[in-house]
Amino acid sequence: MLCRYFKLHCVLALFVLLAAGCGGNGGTSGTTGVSATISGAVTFADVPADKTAGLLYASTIERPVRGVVVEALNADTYALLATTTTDAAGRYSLAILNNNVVIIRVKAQMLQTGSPSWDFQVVDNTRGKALYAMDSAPFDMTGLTSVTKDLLAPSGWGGSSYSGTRVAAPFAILNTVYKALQKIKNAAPLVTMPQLLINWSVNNRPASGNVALGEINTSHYTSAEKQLYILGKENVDTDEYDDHVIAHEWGHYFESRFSRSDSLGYDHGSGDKLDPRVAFGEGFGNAFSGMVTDDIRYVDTKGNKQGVIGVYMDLSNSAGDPISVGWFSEDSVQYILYWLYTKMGFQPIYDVLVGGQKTTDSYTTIFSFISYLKAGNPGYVGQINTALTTKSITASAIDVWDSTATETNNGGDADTLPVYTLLTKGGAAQRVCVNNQFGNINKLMTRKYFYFQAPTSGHYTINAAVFTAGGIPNIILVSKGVQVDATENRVTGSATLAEDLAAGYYVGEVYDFRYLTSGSAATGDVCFDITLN
Amino acid sequence: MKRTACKLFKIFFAVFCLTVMPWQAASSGDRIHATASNVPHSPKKSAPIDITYSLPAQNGAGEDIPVTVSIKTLADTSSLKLEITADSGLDMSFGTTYARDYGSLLRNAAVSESFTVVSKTDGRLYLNVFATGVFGGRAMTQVISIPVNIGTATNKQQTSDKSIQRTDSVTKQNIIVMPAEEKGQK
Repeated sequence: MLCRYFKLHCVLALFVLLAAGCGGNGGTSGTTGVSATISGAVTFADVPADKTAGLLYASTIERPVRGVVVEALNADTYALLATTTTDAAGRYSLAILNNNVVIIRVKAQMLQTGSPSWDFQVVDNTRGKALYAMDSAPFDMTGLTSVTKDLLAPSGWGGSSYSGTRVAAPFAILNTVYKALQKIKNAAPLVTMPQLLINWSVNNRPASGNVALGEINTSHYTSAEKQLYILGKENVDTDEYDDHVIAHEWGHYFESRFSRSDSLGYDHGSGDKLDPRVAFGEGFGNAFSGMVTDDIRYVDTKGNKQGVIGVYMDLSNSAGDPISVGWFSEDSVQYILYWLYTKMGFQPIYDVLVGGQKTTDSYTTIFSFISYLKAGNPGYVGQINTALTTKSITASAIDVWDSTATETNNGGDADTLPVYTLLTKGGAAQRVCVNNQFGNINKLMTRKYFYFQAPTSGHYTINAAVFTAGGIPNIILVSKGVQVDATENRVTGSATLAEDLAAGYYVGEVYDFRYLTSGSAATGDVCFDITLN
Repeated sequence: MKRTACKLFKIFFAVFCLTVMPWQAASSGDRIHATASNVPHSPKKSAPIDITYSLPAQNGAGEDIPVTVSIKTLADTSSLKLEITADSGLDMSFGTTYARDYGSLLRNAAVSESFTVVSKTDGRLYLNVFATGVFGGRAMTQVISIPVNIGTATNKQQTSDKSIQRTDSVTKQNIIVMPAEEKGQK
């Protein structure tokens, strides 16, 4: 026992000696140091976004940088002396030996290991995904036992343009991520969050091409890379201070990694009648931005001096987008989800997203979400129905398929209903029609959805035969969000999937290839007859 | 004669680029075939305006480069305004900034502008197109940047002027170190 105690002391003594020795080469006073504390507050310059004037640089305020990694480094060797994270007030405290010339480094990284855990980093996609950090000037700790070092990340705004380094931008992004994290942690205190890289650069602009050059198209979440890309090009489009845009895209990360999103992604705008999976994903993102910020004003700034409004939405406005109202509208979904958040809080919404919505047999739409929300919260059914009715969505007998066909809102095209067509093995052919009157690719009516129950394991054949001459049918078959198979027809003719399937429910879609291309000249109804054998 | 042939070639080339090079013409997203398991990007919400463009993929310094910008309204708008700006070094035939007001337009209305740009030096420079419409009484703006390739050189990316790139001594990760402002020591 004594031996063990002695050994421990020896190790500790050696560690202290090594730590003191590490300073060397002019970075230390050359003497054994004594324990000292460096503490302070880390803040960033936050520029508010106004719904009519854009970014208000004259109203810039300091906000705490919360939950980020802070390091004390030896100024000469860059050896790590101590590390911590800032607290909820942006404060930090580091204990080091005072025989060092020190730099305080604040990384644009929120990191926690164990349970709960997360790792969110803001990196530059135009500079090899390098992590952003800000350093203090070196300072000599010799003879000192306590130093206060308050650090500010400045915006770089020079009055009429960015004239300095935009140090604040990565920390502004993390400020929104911090809020989102708190929202999730409150619902799931021991949450384990997969690493997320948030790519931001002063070069990130709305161009298609090479992301390493900053051509990121727009701020977006990519589920292939599982990363965020955020615009930063001055006088064109910057999003680091557009909290709702950041929260919206982070919401896609959350939905993709914790819940399930069957969304097709792609462009979506005001007035769009969308594929209901896209409508749900984007509507959730918008609503989530309001939940995270507890601010109903979604503002997206851009243009000269960031003084132009790209999109403004009042998330609590029941009138919202008058052009698109219903189960195919992201505006309707966002209103319903945000309104229910104000009545029920976030927990029930979180529970459905990581529960029923994640494992649903159907596609992830407002129908599946509401079905599980009602099932888990019978006391709120009245309010849920009120929200649905406000946005012209059926409130009665709703289930994930709308199997009783109570939905009557067809968005202006009778062929949109029923939402899902039920197939039965050996049953009569079901005629479905698609068109691109609402747009191509991810818009309502470019696809028609079907579902069936395979009562037993076995071989099943799904066929889509052309009814309208020239149609190019294709089929996608999905089980709980995972693609089972898909055809890739590029010429007219039947589409067939022959599959060995386990017993259970399957969902799928039939589409015409021509309506999945952005520049398609084809228009008009194209009908197919679907059979299951 | 030689000049006429050259002119004809230029016209042919411009028409070729406008019609046969869809990847340069699809600014709102390339052709995709999306499936449930191949989920593409989830972008932020945009104004209901579609902006596309066409121009030759490769150009020479000092050459007149023909550009066409097309705008389609995806909803009725009581006002549509266009503004085009260019990166420093890229000169547009109609000056440093172009602005036009089209007034009210119905859904699916299409307008376009054709012009030329010229750059004295090689690089990848950008035109910025802003289209602002008023939809249901609410102004919304769509913006895209159009890359213009001149010669073989790629553009030099802007860096935060006082930032330094180095390797983190502990994690070995690349980091960009920017200067903090120390409170009371501005």
